[in-house]
Amino acid sequence: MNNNELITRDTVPEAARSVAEKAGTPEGREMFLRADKDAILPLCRALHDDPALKYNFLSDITAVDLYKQEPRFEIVYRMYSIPDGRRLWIKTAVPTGEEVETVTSVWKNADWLEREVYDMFGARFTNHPDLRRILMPANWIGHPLRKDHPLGNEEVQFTINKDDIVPQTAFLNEHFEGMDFAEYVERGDEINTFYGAANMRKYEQEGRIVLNMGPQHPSTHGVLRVILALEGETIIDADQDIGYIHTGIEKTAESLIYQQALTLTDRMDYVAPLMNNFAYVLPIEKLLGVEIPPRGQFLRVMLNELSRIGSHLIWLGTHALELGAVSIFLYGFRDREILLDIFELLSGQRMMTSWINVGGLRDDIPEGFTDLVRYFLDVFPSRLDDYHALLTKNPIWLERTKGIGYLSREDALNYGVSGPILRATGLAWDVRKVWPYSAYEEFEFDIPTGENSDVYDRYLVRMEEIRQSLRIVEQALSKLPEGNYRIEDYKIVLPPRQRLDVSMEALIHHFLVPTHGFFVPAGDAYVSTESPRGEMGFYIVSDGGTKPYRMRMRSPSFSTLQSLPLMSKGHLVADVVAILGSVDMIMGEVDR
Amino acid sequence: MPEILVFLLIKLILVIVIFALWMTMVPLLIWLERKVIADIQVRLGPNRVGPFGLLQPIADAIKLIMKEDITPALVDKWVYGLAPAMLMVPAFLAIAVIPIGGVVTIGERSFALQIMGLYRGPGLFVPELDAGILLVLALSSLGVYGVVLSGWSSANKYSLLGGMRSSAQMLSYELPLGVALVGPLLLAGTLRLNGVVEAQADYGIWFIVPQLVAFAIFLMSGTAEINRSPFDLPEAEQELIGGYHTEYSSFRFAMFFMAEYVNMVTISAVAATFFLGGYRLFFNDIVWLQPVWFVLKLMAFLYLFIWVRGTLPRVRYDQLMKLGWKVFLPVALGNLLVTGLVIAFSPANTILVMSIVGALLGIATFFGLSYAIVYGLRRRRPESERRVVEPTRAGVSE
Amino acid sequence: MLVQYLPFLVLFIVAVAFAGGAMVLSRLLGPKRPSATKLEPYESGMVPIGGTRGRFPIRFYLVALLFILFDIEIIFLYPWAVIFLEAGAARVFLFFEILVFLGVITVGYVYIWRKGALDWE
Repeated sequence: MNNNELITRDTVPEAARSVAEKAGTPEGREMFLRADKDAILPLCRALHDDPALKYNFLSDITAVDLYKQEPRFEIVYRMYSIPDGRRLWIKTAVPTGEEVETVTSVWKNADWLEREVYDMFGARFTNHPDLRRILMPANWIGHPLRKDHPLGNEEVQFTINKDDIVPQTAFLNEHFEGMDFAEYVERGDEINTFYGAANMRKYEQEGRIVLNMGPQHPSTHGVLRVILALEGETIIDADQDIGYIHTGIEKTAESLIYQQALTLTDRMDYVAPLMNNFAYVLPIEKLLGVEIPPRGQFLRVMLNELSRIGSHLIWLGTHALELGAVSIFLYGFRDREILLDIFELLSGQRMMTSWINVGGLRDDIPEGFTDLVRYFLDVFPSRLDDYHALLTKNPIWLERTKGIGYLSREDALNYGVSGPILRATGLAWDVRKVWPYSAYEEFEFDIPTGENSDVYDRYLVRMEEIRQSLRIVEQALSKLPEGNYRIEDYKIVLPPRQRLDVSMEALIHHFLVPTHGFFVPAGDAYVSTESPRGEMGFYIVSDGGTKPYRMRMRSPSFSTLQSLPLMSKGHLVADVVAILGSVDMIMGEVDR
Repeated sequence: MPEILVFLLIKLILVIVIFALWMTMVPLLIWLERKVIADIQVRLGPNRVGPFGLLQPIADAIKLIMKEDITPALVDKWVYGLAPAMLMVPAFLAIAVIPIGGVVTIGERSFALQIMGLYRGPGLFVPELDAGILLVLALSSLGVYGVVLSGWSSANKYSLLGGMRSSAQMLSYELPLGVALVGPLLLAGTLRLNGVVEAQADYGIWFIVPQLVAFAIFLMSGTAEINRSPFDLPEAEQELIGGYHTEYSSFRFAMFFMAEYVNMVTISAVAATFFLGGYRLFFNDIVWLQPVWFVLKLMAFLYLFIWVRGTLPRVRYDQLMKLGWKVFLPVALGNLLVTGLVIAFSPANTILVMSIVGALLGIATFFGLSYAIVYGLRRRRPESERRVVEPTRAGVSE
Repeated sequence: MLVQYLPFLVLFIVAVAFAGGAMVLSRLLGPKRPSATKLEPYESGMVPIGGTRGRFPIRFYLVALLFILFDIEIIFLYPWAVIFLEAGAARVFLFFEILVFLGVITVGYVYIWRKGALDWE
C-alpha cells in the first residue's frame, strides 16, 4: 500500500478528502497532511478502519500554540501502520474557542493525549468521554503551554499583559461552582484527591472499598497514583492519576537555548538519561541538516545500549523486589554500578551526563574507557545467567507472572503500547530495525518477542534484550571507527580549545555558542527512537531562532500506562504490583 | 521455707532464664538476619553500633521507644491500643512448654529445664503439663486476634486488607501444622515435649527421617503461620505498605516486630524438638550442656528462614490458600495414615520400617510435587521459551 | 492440680509486665505532637476515599468457619495418637477406627472442595 494514493481511496469519506497541504516521500512510506478540523474524525476513522491502510497505532497527539495568530492552535496527530512501517502526520488548525472532534473512538490512547492537550493548551475536544486536567492539579489556573502563560507563575502584571492572565474566578466557576476562593485553597488537597478519582466515586457510593495505591506507595515507581475499586482483593475497576512530578520541562525548554534545554532532557527518563539526550538531538540535527561522523554515531549507539542495559537492570531489580525477591534488586544495582562508573569516567557525572550533544558528543572517549566497557562485557553475561537461574524457572516466580496482565495485540496497538510490552505480544516491532537511526542498520542484533503477552513474557523479552544490547555494545567496541566524534561546524559545536590561541573566529564561536546558541532553520521535525520502554521521540518546532519554539516528548510509558486498568481488571492487588513492574514506567518521563 | 515457695522460686528463675534466652535470641536474630541478608546481597549490613554492629537492634529498640506513639483520629482506641499486646503476650506464653534441657538434679530436688516441666522435691511432685504441644498450637491461634484486631481497628484500608489476609492465612495453616505434628506424636506416644525428645533418644533416630514429609509440611506451614517470607503476605510492603501494622508507630510497632521474631524462635524451637531431637545428642548427655545443643539446632532453623527470605519471591494470596488447603492438608493426612499403617502392622521393627518408608515417602513427595508444579505450568503454556523473530529490513514480519 | 499452672501465671505476669512496661515507657519518653495530617489514616498520601467498612467478600468468614470445623476434627486425632503406640494388639482396630473417622472428614473435605469453597479466583 502506498501512502500517496491514500486520499483517493473509496474508504476515505468525501468530507475528509479536501486536504490543504500534502507532502510525502516518493515511495509513499511517509506522508504529511494538513486537514480541515472537521475532517479529522472521519479521516482518522477511515485511516484506521481501511484494511489496506490500517493505521492501527496512534503515536502522539500534541499541539503548538501559534500565539497572536489565528487560528491559534495547531494540533498534530502522528500515526503508524504497524507492522507495515508506514507513518503519517496530520495537522489541523483550531481557532481559539473552537473545538475539534475527539478521536478516542478510533484509538483508545487518544484519551490521555487529548486530555494533555486540553490541560496544557485549553483546546477542547468534542465528545471526549472524560475531558479533565491530567498533569496539572485540579486547582491550577490557566493552561501552561500557552505562550501567554507565565513561566514560573510570577509574571508581573502590566497594563500590556493584564488581560492575558486568566481570571481565577472564572476557573472556579467552571469547576467548583459556589465555592469561595479561600475555601477552595484550603481544601486543595481534598479537591485534588477526589478530582483525580472522579471515575471511581461511583464504586464508593456502592459501598465498595476504593483504595488509593500511590502516590506514596513502595511499588508505584515514584509517584503514580492508581485508584482501585476492590471486591475483597479482586480488582473490579482501576483508574490512574498522574502528574505528581510534572515539572513543566516542555515549557521551560521554550525559554532556553537548545544546548541548555538538553540538560532538562536528562531529567525526564532519569533511568536512562543518555537516551533522552540522544532522542532530543536527532530532530534538531534533522532540522539543521547535519550528518554525524561514523565514530560519533558508533559511540552514541554504544552509550545508548549501555543505558538500555542500565535501565533494564533497574527494571529487573525493582520488578523482582516488588514480587518479594529482595536480593535481585541489589544484584541489579551492583552491575549498574559498573555502568555508572563508565558514565562517570566519560563525563564526571553518574546520571545527568548530558553527553550526547547536537553535532556529536561532548567530547571523545577518555583513556581507559574501552577497558572498562570491556570489563563489563566480561563479567556481566555470567551474572545475567545467575539471574536467570534465580528467577526464570523458579516455581513461585512462574506462578506469580504467568498469565498475569494479559494484553492482546489489538489492545496493545489500540492503546499505543510500544517497546517490550508490544514485543511480548509477539510483534517484532522495534524502531531500531524499522526506521534505523544513527547507524543502527550496521549492527547485528535480534528482536526478542514473546507469545503470551503476560508479565512473564515481558520479563523474558527484557532479559533477552539485555543480551542483544550486549551484542551491540560488543560490535560497537570492536568496530569503532577512527575519525572525528562530532561535526566540524563551529557555529554549532564548540571549536577545539587549542584553536582559541590562533583563531579570532574560534574565540567568537567559543563565546557565541554557549551564550547565544545556534540558529535552527524554521520548521518542525520528529524522530522516533527506541527507548527501554518503547518508542520515544522528540518533536521540535523551530521558529528559526536559537530556542525551541515548542519541544514535545512522545513518552512511551504515558501511552502504555493507559492500558493498566485493562491489564489489571479481575486480578488481585498483588498482581497489580507485578503488572506495574512489567510496565516499567518511569514517572519522570510520564509526567515530564 | 515451705516447699511450694522453693518450687515457685525455681520456676521464677527458670521463667526469667528462658524469657531472657528468647529476649536475647530476638535481637541476635534481627542482627543475624540483617547480616546474613546483607551477605547474600553483597552488602555489609550493620557495622557501626558496637562490634560488628551487634548493638544495632538495641539502638533500634531505644530509638523506637523514643518515637512518638501516634494514635490516628479514626481508630477504635482501646482495640487499637491493646492489639499489639494481644499478639505479643501469646507469643511469649508459647515458650512455657518448650524444653531447653533435660532434668536437672540439685541436692534432693530435681526439675526439668522447662517452664511447665517436671518438678520433684521433698513432699511436692509436679508433673509436666500433659497438653504439651497443644498449648503451643492454642497460643499461636490466639495470636490471630492481635493481627485481625489491629487490622480492623486501624481504620485504614491497607491494614484491613492485611488483617483479612492474615486471619485467613494463619487459620488455614494452623491445620496442616496441627496434622503434620500428629505423625511424630504417633511415634512418641505422648504430647509432652520432653517425652518427644526422649522418644527420639530412645529410638536412636531423629524424627526428621521417619517423618520427612511431616517435617517439610511443618516447616512450610510454620513459615506461613509466622508470616515469614515467602509467605509474608499480611505485611507485604510492596503491596500493602505495612499490612496490619501500617498505622502503628513507636514501640507498638516494635511489638509487632518482636512478636514475629519471638514466634520465629518458638516455631524453630518446636521444629528442633520434634524433628531434630531437641536438646539431646546421641552421645553427649551432660545435662548442663543440653541448652547449648538446643540453641544450636534452633539457630540452624533460624538461618534457614533467613536464607529463604534472601532467595525466594513472595507467593500470591490465592496461591497460598490453595497450597495450604489443597496440597499441605491432604499430604499431611496421608503421611499420618502411612505412619499409622506402619505402626499398626509392623509391631516389631516399627522405627526401622518407618524410617525407610518415611524417607522414601519424603523423597517421592518432593519429586511428585515439583513435577506437579512444573508439569502443571507446562501444560498450560506449551512453549514458554523465547522466540526470536528476524525482522525484515523494510517492514517487520509478524 | 492447680499448682502445675503457677509457672504459667508467672510467665504471664512477666510477659504482660514486659509488654505493658514498654508501652508505658514509650508513652513517657516519646514526644506528643499530634497534627491533623498526622492523625489521618495513611492511604499513600491521599485523603481516603470512603471508609474501611465497605463490602467484603463472605469468603473470609467461610475460611474461618471451615477452620473451626476442621480444627476440632483434627484435635480428635491427638488423643488417638497418644494412645496408639501403647495399644499393643488393639492397634489394628484403632487404625481402622481412625480410618473411618478420617473417611468422614474426607467426605466433608471433598464436599467443600467440589463446592468451590477452597477456590480463590
